[in-house]
Amino acid sequence: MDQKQFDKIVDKQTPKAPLFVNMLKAFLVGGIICTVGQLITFFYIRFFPFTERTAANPTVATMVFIAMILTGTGLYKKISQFGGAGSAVPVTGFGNAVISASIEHKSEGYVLGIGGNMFKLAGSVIVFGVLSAFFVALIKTILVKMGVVSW
Amino acid sequence: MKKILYISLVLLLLTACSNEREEAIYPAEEAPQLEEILNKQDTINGYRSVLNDEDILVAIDIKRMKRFNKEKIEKNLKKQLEEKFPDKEILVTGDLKVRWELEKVMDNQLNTEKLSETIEEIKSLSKEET
Amino acid sequence: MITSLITSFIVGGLICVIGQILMDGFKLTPAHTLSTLVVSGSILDGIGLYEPLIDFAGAGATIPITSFGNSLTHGALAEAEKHGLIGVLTGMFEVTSSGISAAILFGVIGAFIFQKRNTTY
Repeated sequence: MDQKQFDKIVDKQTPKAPLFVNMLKAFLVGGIICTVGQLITFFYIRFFPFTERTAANPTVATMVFIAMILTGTGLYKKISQFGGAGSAVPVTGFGNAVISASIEHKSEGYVLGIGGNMFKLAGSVIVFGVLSAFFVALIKTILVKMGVVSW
Repeated sequence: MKKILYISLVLLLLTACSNEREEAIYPAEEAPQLEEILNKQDTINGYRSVLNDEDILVAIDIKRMKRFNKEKIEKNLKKQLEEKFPDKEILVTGDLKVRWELEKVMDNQLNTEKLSETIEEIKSLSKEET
Repeated sequence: MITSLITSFIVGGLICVIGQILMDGFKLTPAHTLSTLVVSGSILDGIGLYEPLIDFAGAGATIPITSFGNSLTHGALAEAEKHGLIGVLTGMFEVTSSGISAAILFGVIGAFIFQKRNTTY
């Protein structure tokens, strides 16, 4: 049996991921996470000197904290099995990737294990975020200097 | 079943909190012109405004679907107010924090000194970017 | 306040649906999906569309990873406006730091507290 035949059989055996159902699940889970985030934002606006804009920062930090608890107790894995992208796209998914990597590599030591592997999964997000931010800002700055667009 | 009960309870609480005194100026009857302009706006659900001799703070509750244009609405209203009150410093914002702070000012009925202190605080708060 | 919660639910949910479509429909790995979303958030901020979305949806726009690209770009643009081209480099992490610093901090704390088990997604 060569690789092609094998792939065909595997294709037949694995159930086709029902895209619509997955989308619905992602919508629900992602929506709920964002609603929790909105509640936390309201909390920070109400009881601390944050405006709607500045409250986003402590909210993100709090969400990552919650992600730590859920990751450590193994709950986040269950959520992500159900929610798919709904649990990966919010910032809790980013936190989960970082935190789970550092828990997993703890045994290799703090510097090489945690420090070295922390961003194993989430590093690409930072890399491409910075890259695209650099190019977008560069292009826009040049365009503004040329007088094509304004800030 | 219990969960649904909790959620509906929370929702009820939230709605109960949100519908009072949507349009208010403090000190009341200070500036009828201000009220006139604010009542004309059709992009907002309500407003709260606090003023003293130097400043006018206006916190508007922008209608949900108009919020994409939040900055434009704020600027536009600010311009209109600046024309009417050229000698005052004006802050127009759709920010929830400022609205809640102004609400507090109205509830506490602050005296003139405290009022200008609070106004300064709110102004520096809303200047913070990001 | 309720409308805020509903809009953040809907907008946040829709962004996650886009992620799911990228994952299922275009067969991207989670890392590719997230990178794509970050890049699109950054581009949306470049053409000035992401901030209005935040005004509209609140946490529905700030919690998804797209906002990470948005705030990186926003910091870079804000500095570029003040200091010209050099600002593009220096301003980038001015705004974003909370997500990354929280992730690092809680990553280390989490590693202290919790034992290894199946935690990856």
